[in-house]
Amino acid sequence: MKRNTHLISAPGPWAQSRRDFLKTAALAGVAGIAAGHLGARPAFAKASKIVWGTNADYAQPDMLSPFQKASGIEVATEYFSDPSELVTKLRAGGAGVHVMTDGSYHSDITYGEGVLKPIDTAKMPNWDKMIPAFKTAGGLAFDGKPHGIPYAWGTDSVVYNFDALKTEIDDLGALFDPKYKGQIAMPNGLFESLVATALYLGIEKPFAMSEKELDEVTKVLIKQKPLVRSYWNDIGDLKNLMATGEVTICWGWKMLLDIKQHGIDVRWAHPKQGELAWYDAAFMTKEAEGETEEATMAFMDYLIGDTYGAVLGKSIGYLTTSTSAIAAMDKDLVKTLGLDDYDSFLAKAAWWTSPTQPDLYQKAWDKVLNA
Amino acid sequence: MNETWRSWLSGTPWLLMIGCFFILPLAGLLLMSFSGEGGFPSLDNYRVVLGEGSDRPAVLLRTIGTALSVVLLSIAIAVPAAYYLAKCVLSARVQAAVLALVAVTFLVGPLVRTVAWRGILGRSGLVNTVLQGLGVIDEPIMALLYGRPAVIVAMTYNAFPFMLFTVFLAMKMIDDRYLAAGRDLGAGPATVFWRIVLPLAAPGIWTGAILVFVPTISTVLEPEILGGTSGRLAATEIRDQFFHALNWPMGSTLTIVLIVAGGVAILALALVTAALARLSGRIGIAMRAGSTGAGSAR
Amino acid sequence: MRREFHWFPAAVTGAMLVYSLLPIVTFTLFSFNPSPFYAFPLTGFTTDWYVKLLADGRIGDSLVASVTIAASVMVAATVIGTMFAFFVVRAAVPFKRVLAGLGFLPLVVPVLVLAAGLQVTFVEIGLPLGFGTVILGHVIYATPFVTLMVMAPLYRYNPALDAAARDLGAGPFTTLRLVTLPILWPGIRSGALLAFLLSFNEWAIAFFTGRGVNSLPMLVYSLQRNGLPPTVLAYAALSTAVVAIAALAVLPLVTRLLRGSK
Repeated sequence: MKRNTHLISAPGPWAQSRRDFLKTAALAGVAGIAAGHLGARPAFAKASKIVWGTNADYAQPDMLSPFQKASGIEVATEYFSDPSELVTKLRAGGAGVHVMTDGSYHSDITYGEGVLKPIDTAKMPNWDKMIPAFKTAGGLAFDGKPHGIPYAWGTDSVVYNFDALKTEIDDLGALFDPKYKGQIAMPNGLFESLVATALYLGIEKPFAMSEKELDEVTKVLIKQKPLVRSYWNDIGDLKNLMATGEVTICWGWKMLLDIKQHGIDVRWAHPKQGELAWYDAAFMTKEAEGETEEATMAFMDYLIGDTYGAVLGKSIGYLTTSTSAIAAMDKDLVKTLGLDDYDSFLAKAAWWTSPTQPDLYQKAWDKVLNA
Repeated sequence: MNETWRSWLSGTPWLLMIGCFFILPLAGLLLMSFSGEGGFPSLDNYRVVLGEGSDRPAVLLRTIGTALSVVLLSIAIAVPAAYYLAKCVLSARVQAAVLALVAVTFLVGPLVRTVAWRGILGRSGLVNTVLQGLGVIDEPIMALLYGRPAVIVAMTYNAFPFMLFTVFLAMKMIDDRYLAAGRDLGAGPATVFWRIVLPLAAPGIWTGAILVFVPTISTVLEPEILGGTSGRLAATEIRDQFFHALNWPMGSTLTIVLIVAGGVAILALALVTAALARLSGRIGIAMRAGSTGAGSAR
Repeated sequence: MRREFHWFPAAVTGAMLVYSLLPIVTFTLFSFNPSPFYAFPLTGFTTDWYVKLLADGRIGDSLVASVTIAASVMVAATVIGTMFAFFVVRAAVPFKRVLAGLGFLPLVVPVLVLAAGLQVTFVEIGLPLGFGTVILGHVIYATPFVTLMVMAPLYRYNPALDAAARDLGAGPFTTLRLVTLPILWPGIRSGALLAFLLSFNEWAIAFFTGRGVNSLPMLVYSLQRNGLPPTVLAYAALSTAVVAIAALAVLPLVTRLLRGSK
């Protein structure tokens, strides 16, 4: 699943005035009842059931049933396609969600909204078996306390249809080449097009661009627009674009390689300008309390265990963070997924973070879309 | 039962409901749109949206223009079809069957309905495959998909049944004797249609126009799934501000602006509809005759 | 009366049917296609997607949730919306135009914004989020549509009929039941159907105001993010077929109603 649409920006200076206006509205209108219930949260007590806010792909029945059978804990799901939807809900209160999926690109913003609580990794047997690089990855610990359990990861790069292009691609410039007019797809979400373009232009910090650098990126993207067939919104969208021949080259995600099994020779480019790495993690929300908190922890441990790790790769082609899951996995699957040499990859990966000035990024991408 | 008392009784449940659950949040939205970087109240957001150098007015115009073309297309489809069904087809069974077939499209979620157009208009979609198979074209027509035309085709598809149902109902209620009288007085089918049927069906067309226009200006699906690089529409922008930029004040401002612009467009639509109806027949007389006639015809 | 053949409206009606059915035929074809991608030519024939669909319990649960919500919404919105139509058309109270205008305001707010606004309101006044709030939200969303559908026949309704009924000794409720409602029935029926369908297909309000409510559109929306798998198309085709068969069964009834409303 991971990041689907636009990145969330940090709450602006209006956050306070929003609260003020809500109070005004409540006082003005909803009679007396409103005030008494401000911020009221319904209580959750039963530990036999927890709710996971995630994307449907992470929660297919066969992926969860081993845990439910072993623990007797029912895992209900609250589907979303973009964590920001759930954050909006959690912030308003009473979402009834105990654990949520969030990504390296924006977990700090979720934390900033005050909806997460820390976890005790000592209570998770599978934590020690995690690829060490992930334990210390950014966006997981806040105020020195671990909050997130990374359980899936991958990279983004240029993907192309070799049958159609008849040439190897090792340069991000291909995405801006008039030769491929009408055959290019670029991502709509998460400012990923801005970041990919920044990589192409050799901008040093793609997630901390200055206004001038963003201007430069915007210009290149507007110039690229006539070459682009579509801005894709999600990976399924992109798979269809590539598989049906609508486009032949794109900036895409690893899951796109799935379409190989349908006889389409899509290839993953390792552009000289670099690739981007991301992970999805499970975070406990403040609504997990008492027995539910324990059940939630047990479930989060399951997500980084052998069973889930294997089924994650098999069902949706994402990579597990668990070394023991990789060891226990079918060798062919490990190779297909590219998990056999994760160390060398991790050593040079550039990790997603949230942009330092999301407002400017949003404005820049707005400009491209509206042009 | 007292008339005034009954009047209030009929309006109260709904007015109470929207008072609590709608007007209040809307008032909140309005208040929020005035909280800018400089605190509250301020016109900052409106300045950003409508001020110099902003691309928002263009987006707004594009949105309303698109929705109006959808309304016109819906009228072009629904009015002749409704006329045919209501006034030219004898069998009630055929009428019911056609309406039911159109209604069935509503049962399919908007997402599936919209995505299906990719399979129809795409490079290897139904249209291109058939045309290539027939030898009409050699290369697929790429312009069918990922652009404004595809967006309008899908938006019309998703909205025109509203128009069909309301216009059908309106025409169904026109007394057949008016048509017969018109013909007896020597009017041809075209004259009967333009001078009698259309003016009498105008309220239905008008209702249909609102039912088509309003959801169309606030939809996010079609432009995103079928629009390619043809540019965002207002609702998508609002969604992005609320849910991706988490900038509620800006989202509120854009919403208020869209509501106002939509209201103005509906008003303009009303004036144009009235003018057209007046053009095509003597609406005043016909309407009065129609409103008493249709009732007594039962 | 004399009916004559009009080639132009007939042609438009034919074209309209093709237009209406084209997407349905297309996704039905894809739902039997082994390839998960929506392109021609088709690669073969399979019922795998249907097997997969029926094996996935989530769609069944979501269907039950969606039908429950939509049916409740239909009843509430039809009653409230019809009453409000009477208010708009008949009422003689001060500021009626303003009040009537307010009643239609929900129509012009983008649904996503309406959804977020409703959620904040529900939470602020302490309503626990769940099925009830989704239904309430959908009623707010669907009622103006019902009112619009009922208003059209109501405008053409001759009030003299009420007076006539009164003169014949009928009380207000008898008049309503035996005279007014039967005449408005086509409009009310269309409004009710519309309310059901609007609720059945609505995603945003269900997402924001529901807790533990995974309605069908929510499931589909979420699945779509990974490419609207053919199982969803299989579901769409299957449900369309079921409804079409059901519609055939009630067609004689509808036909009778249409004859009655002529």
